[in-house]
Amino acid sequence: MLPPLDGLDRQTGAEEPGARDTVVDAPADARIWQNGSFQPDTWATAVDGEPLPETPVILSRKRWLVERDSLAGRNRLLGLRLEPGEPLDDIAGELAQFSVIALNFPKFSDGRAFSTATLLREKHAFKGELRAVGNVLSDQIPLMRRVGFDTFEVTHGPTRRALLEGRLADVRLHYQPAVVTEPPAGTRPWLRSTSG
Amino acid sequence: MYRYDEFDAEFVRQRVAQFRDQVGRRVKGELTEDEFRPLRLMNGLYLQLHAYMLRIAVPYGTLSSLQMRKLAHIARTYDRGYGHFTTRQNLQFNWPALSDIPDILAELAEVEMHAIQTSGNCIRNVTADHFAGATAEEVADPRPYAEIIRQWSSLHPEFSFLPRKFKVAVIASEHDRAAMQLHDIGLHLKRLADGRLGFAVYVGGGMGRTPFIAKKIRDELPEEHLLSYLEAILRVYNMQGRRDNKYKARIKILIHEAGIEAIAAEVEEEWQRIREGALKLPEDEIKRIADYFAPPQFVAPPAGASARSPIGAPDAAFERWIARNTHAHKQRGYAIVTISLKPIGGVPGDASAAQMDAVADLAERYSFDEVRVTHEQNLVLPHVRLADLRAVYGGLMEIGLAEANVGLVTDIIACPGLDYCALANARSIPIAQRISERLAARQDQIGDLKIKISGCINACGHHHVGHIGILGVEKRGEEHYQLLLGGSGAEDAALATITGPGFGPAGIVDAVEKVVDTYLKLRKDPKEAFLSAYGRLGSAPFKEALYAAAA
Amino acid sequence: MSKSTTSISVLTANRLSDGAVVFLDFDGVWVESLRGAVVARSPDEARALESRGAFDAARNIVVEHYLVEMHEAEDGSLTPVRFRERVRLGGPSILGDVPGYVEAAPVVRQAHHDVGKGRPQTHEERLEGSHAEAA
Repeated sequence: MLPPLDGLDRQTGAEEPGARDTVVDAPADARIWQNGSFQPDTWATAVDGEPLPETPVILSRKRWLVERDSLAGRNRLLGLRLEPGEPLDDIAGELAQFSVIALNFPKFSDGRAFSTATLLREKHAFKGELRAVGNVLSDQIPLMRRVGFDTFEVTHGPTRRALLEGRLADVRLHYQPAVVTEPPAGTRPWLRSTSG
Repeated sequence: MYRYDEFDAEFVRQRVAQFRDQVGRRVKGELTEDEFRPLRLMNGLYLQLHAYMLRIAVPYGTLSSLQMRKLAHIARTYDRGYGHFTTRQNLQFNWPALSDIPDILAELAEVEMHAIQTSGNCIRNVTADHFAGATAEEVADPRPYAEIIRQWSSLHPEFSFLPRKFKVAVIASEHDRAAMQLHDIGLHLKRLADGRLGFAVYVGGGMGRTPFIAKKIRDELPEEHLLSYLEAILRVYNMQGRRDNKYKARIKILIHEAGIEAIAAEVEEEWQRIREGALKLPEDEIKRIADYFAPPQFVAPPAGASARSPIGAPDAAFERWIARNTHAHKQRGYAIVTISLKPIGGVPGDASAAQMDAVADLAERYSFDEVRVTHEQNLVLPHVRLADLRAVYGGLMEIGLAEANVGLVTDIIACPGLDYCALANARSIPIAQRISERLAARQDQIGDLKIKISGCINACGHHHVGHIGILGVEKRGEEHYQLLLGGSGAEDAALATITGPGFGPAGIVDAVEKVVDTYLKLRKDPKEAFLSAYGRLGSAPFKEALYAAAA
Repeated sequence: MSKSTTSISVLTANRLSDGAVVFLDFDGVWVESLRGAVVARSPDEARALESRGAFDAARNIVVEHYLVEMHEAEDGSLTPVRFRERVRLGGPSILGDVPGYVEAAPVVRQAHHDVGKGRPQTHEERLEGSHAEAA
């Protein structure tokens, strides 16, 4: 009863889904985009119910609240992972202990972490690595950079390819100052530009 | 009006190139529809019932003749020969092909236009009083501030993925012609206590499923703090606005649930942190932008000149048109002309390519090359010499846009409705047409009466603030209409209330006529307009006329 | 054939390239007319049709696919059950009143049309397609 599935040439724009995922890519375990290349993640993420590993570890906010006293004074690399909507102000004094803060984008349309990043940089003067994790897509990365993200965990195939091929089609002129320092673009007070 | 410099032009060019790339990746399958949707929405491209729809930004409703001609050209070349002017002062094309969109955007960029952020969960077109720069009522032209906000909000990295759309309106007079109190942020430009210019700031207005009138969050905001204060509001909203339910995601819900005092305190705290930072408006920047909106070189009329003195015998139709469709201008010898896009029985807010070209000619010749779009889906020629009114009227007659009905019962606002819109439950345009035809003969007798029709609860037709509001719903698979009375989007903002059970497509037209007949019967005198009469009489006599006879 | 008002469904979507309303026909081609549209007469068939729609959406031919419930008359003609779907099928009801409305796109842009699609359908043809030829 169903129409035949042959005849891709009958239709237009018809590629098999997923056909391009393995054409150009870095190794699958090199997920962190930083300084122009994909690197393996040097951080482990603490798992609920399991003891903390000895390696550099990223803790959820909940886990941090549980562990922070026992970790005080211990000389080890720590990271924090925040879900959108989790408060910052009550741990503001402890943020300097983290080498990296990872902000999650559970859906790419959830833009709360853009404000969290802004506050981390501007209000809390966080100087460590700010990492975007979760649903990170190529069209957001330039915006994320502007609000202070340094590194990006990317698993979306087309985004990985675009990064590797240097093909982020972004707008390099900006109408507003952002978190990061950008060179002015002319004499109007807030015009900024991003170089290549 | 604002003119692009190299930066503005290059920004739009890069944006066009970016979207061209995004469209290409979509067609190739590198982006799924779920991933592409927010990107195309941020470029004003919807998928509607029958086709794509492209919404073009008309910043604070202001257009030059060059721009209007380009819109006509796009209508002819890429679409089906017409466009629709919207309740947010924008223009919509209903039939563009996806693959043509980058070319359309490139053509728009040539005349300093774009479709950036006319859709999506971001800051939308900033609207303003359509009489700005022409009315004596304003303390200053609000449009420079609208332009400043427009620039600051363009591709703002922090606010591109808000919980929901965000709409801003700016007015500068006590008469609110922009429905300012029905916006997420409303700004009322005024003189502060110390005599300097500043704003009363309102938040949390909006229509849709749960309409709210905005609440004042700050009575006096000096003009130099405009952007930092807005940034504080947006930051609080971005972080706390609900993201679990599309119908509860606007800032009006956040205000309602948290309370205006709590939100005001949070905004104030964040604003105090940033107010002296990079976003403080330098005085010379305000002046630089304001200079773009400097008044044109008006010519004071010779003594004794008036619209009547030129050619010919007294013309009753021309007199009616002057009475209804022109307003006083701040400059002696000039008038503000409203072009009604509501011909009797016509499609509200639509204009053909030929009509757009003709309006462009009139604007260029008679209105210092400027035309405006109003949120009531009409056009305005802001600066017309009284001596030229007859020529303008003649030109409008030739293109069928001389109906003298501005503000009358046939000057209906209607969303595209189910004829076009994938969100709609019922058609709104045919209802507007039938009402217009039914009441046209009595429209002068009826006087000022604003009917607003929405085809679904999203309220793009602003039915909550109609003197008579109509909401299309779906009942048992068929079109059905609720009737609301007593709303207003002006400075006396009020939400209309539902009368009772709804009506079918024919019944709603009869119902509106019954409401009108009741008003005519019970008004004190012809000077008591519908809204005043309704305020005095209450809903009871209207409900009785609508429902009691059914027994 | 079937009872005079059997409820059945067809698969509809919007074509990615121009957003046009299309239906899946028996050859697996998305066409603008209901004439020849594949019909699902059971939940199993409906599910199979729906997943075919998902497949073609993943192949970037169409977007927003879904099943439309239809009444089938004795002569085999199909009418959408929901009012909304009748409007979607027939096009805007007010095109005759739209100022300056021009039905077909100018010739210069025929190059953009997809293979197998041909000239865009007129409003009348689309409505016609919802009724089979009278016996």
